[in-house]
Parts: sequence; structure tokens; C-alpha cells
Amino acid sequence: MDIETVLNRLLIAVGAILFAAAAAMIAVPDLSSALPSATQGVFLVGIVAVVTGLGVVRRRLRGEVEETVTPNPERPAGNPMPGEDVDRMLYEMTHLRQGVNENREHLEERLENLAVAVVRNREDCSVEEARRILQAGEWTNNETAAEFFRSERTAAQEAGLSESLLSGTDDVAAFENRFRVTVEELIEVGDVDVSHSVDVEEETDRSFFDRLLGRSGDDGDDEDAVESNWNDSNSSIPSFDTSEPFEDVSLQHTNRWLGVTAFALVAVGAGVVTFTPGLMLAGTVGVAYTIYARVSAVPRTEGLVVEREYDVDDPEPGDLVEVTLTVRNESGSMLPDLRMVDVVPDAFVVTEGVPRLHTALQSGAQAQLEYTVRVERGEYDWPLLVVARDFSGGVERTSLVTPEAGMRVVPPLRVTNDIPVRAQTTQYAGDVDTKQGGAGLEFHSVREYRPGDPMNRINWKQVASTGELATIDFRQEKAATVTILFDTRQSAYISAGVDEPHAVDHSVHAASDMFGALYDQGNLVGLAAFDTVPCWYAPGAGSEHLENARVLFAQHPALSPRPPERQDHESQYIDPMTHVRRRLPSTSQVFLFSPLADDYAAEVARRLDSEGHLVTVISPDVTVDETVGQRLTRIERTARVRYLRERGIRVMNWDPDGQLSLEVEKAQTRWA
Amino acid sequence: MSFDIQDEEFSAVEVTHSPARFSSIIAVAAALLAVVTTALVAPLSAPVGLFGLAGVAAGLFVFESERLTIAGTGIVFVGIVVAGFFGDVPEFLLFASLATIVAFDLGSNAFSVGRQMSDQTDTQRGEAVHVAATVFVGVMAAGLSYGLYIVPWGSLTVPALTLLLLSALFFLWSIRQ
Repeated sequence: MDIETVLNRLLIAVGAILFAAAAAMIAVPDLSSALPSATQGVFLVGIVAVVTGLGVVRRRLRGEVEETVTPNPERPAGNPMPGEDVDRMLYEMTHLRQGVNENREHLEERLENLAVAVVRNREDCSVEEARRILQAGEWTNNETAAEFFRSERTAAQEAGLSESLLSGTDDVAAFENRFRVTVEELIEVGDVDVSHSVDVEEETDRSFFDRLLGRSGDDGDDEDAVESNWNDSNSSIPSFDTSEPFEDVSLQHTNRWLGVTAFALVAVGAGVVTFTPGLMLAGTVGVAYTIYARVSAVPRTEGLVVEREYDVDDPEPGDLVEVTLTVRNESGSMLPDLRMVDVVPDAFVVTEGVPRLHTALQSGAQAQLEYTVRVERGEYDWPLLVVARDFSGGVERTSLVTPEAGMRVVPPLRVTNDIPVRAQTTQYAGDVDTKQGGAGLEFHSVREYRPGDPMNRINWKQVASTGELATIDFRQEKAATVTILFDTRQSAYISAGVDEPHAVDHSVHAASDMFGALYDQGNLVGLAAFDTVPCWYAPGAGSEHLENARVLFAQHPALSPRPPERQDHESQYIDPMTHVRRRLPSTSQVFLFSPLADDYAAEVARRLDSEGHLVTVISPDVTVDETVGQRLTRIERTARVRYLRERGIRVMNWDPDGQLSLEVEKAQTRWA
Repeated sequence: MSFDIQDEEFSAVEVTHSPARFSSIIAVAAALLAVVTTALVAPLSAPVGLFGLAGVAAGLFVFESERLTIAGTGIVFVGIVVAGFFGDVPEFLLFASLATIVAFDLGSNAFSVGRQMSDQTDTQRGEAVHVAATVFVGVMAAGLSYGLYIVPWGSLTVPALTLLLLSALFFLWSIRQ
């Protein structure tokens, strides 16, 4: 027998004794006067009641109502913004005083590598020379920035470091400030495009109070926004995902009536103490509601029939689809309190209406809700979250009902634009002009006649004037093998803003169009992604190939609009490029889609290039320039683009706000 | 590259989670009713009641704080108890207490609906059913106890009634689980 049962029996026993006493008093009216202490006893009971009531009030004010936290499926899942890691490190150092040394080392190293790249690019010198320039502080006129690299290896700095560790606080702020100044200086030196400049001088005067609050002098709001990005992670909201047509998530008491007993106890107690029958009468309402809260029936949500309809049968990514959801109660009993949220997939954005409804359904009744979503590629099946309560709301049952109405969104592979393909070709005839002479259209050269040359290519004019046979060669037009390669590692799932699509979305959208164009130009096109989920679709031709590619764009997990799960990090020691490199045909060109968010992506392009593939990097620029970390990542990305271009790798630096077709045209004229 | 779709229609619907309006209005109305009724019984209690009413209204419409709203209904109820000390008009006290508990329930329901649904959601029907159920239960209970009150029981003395009510509460507690 546990304590609960004992307590229960005790409560019943006390209740029974009180009831018996009351019954006795009613039956024998003389009894109450016969007991000399009855009045005092009742008075005491009244005070106890009031005190207990106050206790209940306290519990209510402290306790929380327990209810299902519903998700906000209207917005797309927030993706990290580029540079967030740097901002977080600085935040940890300056505000939380965590990992000061590790973060500091990491940031110093990162900044130094970047500075080497920037200086090397500007001075056109070797790495060693760049390092020497940095350590000598010759790269800039700014004293603080020059000091950042110069002082690093001196003994004085070592001493200063240990000193600062002892003295503690202000040194971190000083480091942060030097870091900011250096980043600004690198923007200046490296000639990187930023939309506004940050006045770092002002920041040196920031008061301690400002620093404490994390204000950055000029734009406190922006920094707050960044901070909230990682402080406010929606981790408290469970994700509602199911593979069953009906699944019970939870059944709980909401405790929302907690405290209503206090109305009864305080009123009755006060009424007894002051001998006011009116107050005792008022207290009975509280007793009634206490009973009401205890009487509960589990709502029968398993009897709900949910149907979902779309106004478009075969949507393409980016289409607006109107969704109509019909819920019918076939449980045979009334569902008095239904709160429903259609858990729209993360990648979708609700543009009109809300996928929620709060209603009550009689048995046999039905309700409808409508909303419009902007769909994204992939195959989806999503549940309706049903939070059902009984009349009083005391019991809450949460279930997921998934209607049989999956949605498949497949990109169309539209042909919109010519794509400049480089001159690495196959033996098949195609559209790419090569440097070889032979059969073709465009004049290439005139050469000596060799026996067996076709008659229609003999240069008869020359024969007529000199009497010697000569053959005209035309430029041969051949097909190229193009492999579209995606960078879909976790680090590529970054976006320029909370609501913006991430870089992988940008890449896949652009690539699905590009695929059609390349295919239409007669090339053999394949797909691959470097990720922990291997994705490889060998270059090929034919309508079946095209259709398979469409489906692959829509459904392959590596190209999914959702970032790979965290657990993938465990296997990160496997080079994600291994499977691609093993299968890539040696004559294939590579179109690499990557936001160039880290050095690895640039390294992939360089290695493919050195293995003899002609590489074109198409890089959506999702960097922004509000915080210091974001500005730092922008310089890093610019440095990577320059590094690649230096090596003769074509880079299409593409701002996703603009149209890629314009960027392609611009690039084409540049490369021609 | 037809990428222009991106820019036109990207804006996601903004969702806010303030307390549901319909329930909030009725909750404040009920609290106001309670305050007016108690003021009729004993004008002295009016300041307490008004203070509580301000808490309820501010909690629902200004600060969006459930705790403040509940504390407000509590203070309104304190006003009823104070009124009971000065003037014993059982009908009015009963009615005021009913209105206060309705305000308490609807206030917390407004927050719950606001959190789980949103301001943009169609919640009219669900809220209305809840209001109806709560008011119905309260009116039935109040009617029943008033009926019992006006019947001359003769031997039902105050101590006996107290013991009866308290025994009922103990029984209730025992069925909590």
C-alpha cells in the first residue's frame, strides 16, 4: 500500500466522520447545544478552511497549467545564419565567461588564416611572405589591428595572457574589441563588399554597463536578434512526427481548475468564522466547480475522420497550394473542445490563413479549415495534431491523425536559359564547340588533303587556283558529361535570415532548372551530393533519365530541404567526397553548388580541378553583414572565391535575391 | 532560372499568441458584474473589487500575464468576502461568487486557447461552447444551493451545515487521483 492510498483512505475517513457528525446534529438538534465546545470547534474548522484555501491559492499561483505545447508550423524551420558560430563564441566569452581560452585560440587561428589569405591575395605573394607581413604589422595602418597578429607570438603576449587570466574580466572585452577592429580592417584591406560600415572606434568607449547588456554601440537590436537565434531555440516544443494513421501522444490532467477549491474554502471558512450564511452559500458554487473539475471523460478522438484536399494535383516547388482540411466526428459522442493544428512540414511556408482551428463537434458534425502553403520539393505526409478536452477542460488528450493525403512535389526541370558548358567533352555529338577540327558547322581550319577525306569538305577554290587538294575542317561539336554536385553537409544549411530559404534550397532550385537546360543542350548530365548520405546518379541521357532525375531532386534524402540530423556528426571522419570521387567519370565536368561556407567546399573544387575535371562553382551568397561574425564569414567566403578564381576555376558568385539567369549571362560574357 | 517565385510570395503568416479575445471579454464582463454586485451589498468593498478588476483586465489585455489575471480574480473574490462581513445579502453574494469563478475559468481558458491556437485562428465556436458549459454548471449549482438554502430546514444549524460542506470537500479531495 503506497502513501497515496493511505492518504486517500484517511481523507475518506475524515469526510465520513464529519458527515456523520453533521447528520447527527441535523437528526438531534439538541446535540449541538449539548456539546459545549461545538461553537468553538466550528470556529476552529472555519479558520483551518481559510488557511487551507490560502495554501491552494499559493499553489495555483506557483503551479503551471499542464497542457500540450503546440508547434508553430506557419514559419519554416529557422536555419542558422552564416557567422553564428563566431558570434556565439564571442558571446560565450564576453557574457558567459565560458571556454575563454579555447574560443580565443580558435578565433585567433581563424582570423589569422583569413588574414594570410587576404594579404596573399592583395600582395600576390607566398604564404610565408604573407605571414611575415602580418607579423611585422605592415599590412595596415590601424595600430590595433596590426597589433593583433604581431603580438601573438611574443613573450610579452604570453606573459600578458597569463596575467589577464589572473586579472580576469576586462581582457576578454579588450580581445573582443581588437577582434572587431581587425575584422573591419580586413574588410577594408581585402576590399570586401559590405552594405554599411561599423564604427569600431566608438566601441572602444562602450561603458561596462553596455557591454554587460551586450549592446554593441550602434545597433543593439541586431545583436539581440542574433542572440535570440541561439538562446531561443524551440527545443521545448516536441516535434510531432508519426508514421501511424492514428497515434496517441499524451493524456493528461491539465490542472487548470487548480485553485477553484480556494473559492469554496475561503468563502465557507470566512462565513463560518463571521457567522454569515450568505458567504457559506457563496462558497457552495466553489464546491460545485470543484466537483465539475473532477468529473472527466476522456474525449474519443479516435473517432475523428480527417480528410485533406489540395487544389493543385501536381505541384511544383514554389507553387502556392490551397489546402482544405475536413474533420468529421464519427465517435458517437460529442467532442466539446477540439484544438487542431495541421503540422505543416518544416520546409513549407503558410502564406494565407492559419492551419489551426478551435471548435466543438457534435457527433456526426464536421468542420473545415483552409489555408495556403508555398510548397517545397519532396514527398510529404503530415499529421493533424488534435488536442481534445472534455467540457471542463480538466482532461486533455493529444493525438496525431494522419490523413491519407500525401503530397509529392517534383521540380519540373524547366529549360530557361543556356548554360555555359566548358570544353571537356565526350566522343558523342552534342552542342559544345571543341577546338578539334572535323565535321561541323563553324569554320575551323584548312589542312592538307588526306586520302579518305569526304568530298564535300574539299576546298575546291584552292584546288582551282593551285591545283593541290586541301580539306576544310569545321569545329567539332560534341556533348559534354556534366555532373552536378551539391554541397549538402550540415554547414551548407545556412540562410541569410530567419525566413529566408537556405543555401541548399537555393542550390537545388537553380540546379533543377540547370539540369533541364544542360540536358536540352545534348549533354550527359548526372547528379551527386557530398554528404553522409551518399547520393549518386550517373550521367546519362534519354527521357527516362530525365524523369528519374526529377524524382531524385524531389526525394533523395541528401537533397532534402531539412538539414541532416545531428547524429550524422558521428561519422564525420569519413570524407564525404569519397563515394563521389570513386564514381566520377574522368571526362566529366563538374558543376559544384555550394555556399562556400567552409574551406572544405573550396578544397573539393580545387581537388576535382587538379584531378582533371573542369569545375564550375555556382555559389549562392547567403552571407550577411550585421554582426562581427557575419562580417567575418563574408570576408572568408570572398577569400575562398578569390582563391578558386586564382586557380582558374570558374566561380559564379550569385546573390539569391537576383535571378541566376542574369548572373549566368554576366558570367558568360566574362568567360567568353 | 525562373527563381522569381521566391521573392513575391515568401512572406509567412505572422502568428501571435495573445489571450483569446472572446473569452477575455466575457471574463472581464463577469468580473465587472461581480464587482458591481458586491458594491451593491457593501459599497465599502468596491475599491477592493475594482482593484481586482483592473488586475483581470490588465492581465488579459495589457500584460498578457495569466498569473496577474488569476490574482485579479482572487482579489475580486476577496472583495466579495469583505462585502459579506458588512452586509449579508445571500443572493447577491452567491451571484457575485458565481461571476468571479466564471471570470477565473474564462480568463485561464483565454490564455490556454491563445497559447495553443493563435489570434488568427477561428476559435469562436470552441470558446462559445466552453463559456456555455461553465455558465450552465455554475447556474445549476447556484440554483440548487439557493433552493436548499431557502427551504426552511429547521434543524439545519450553521455548525451542521459547515460540517456537511467540509465533509463534502474531504470526499472530493479523496477522489483527486
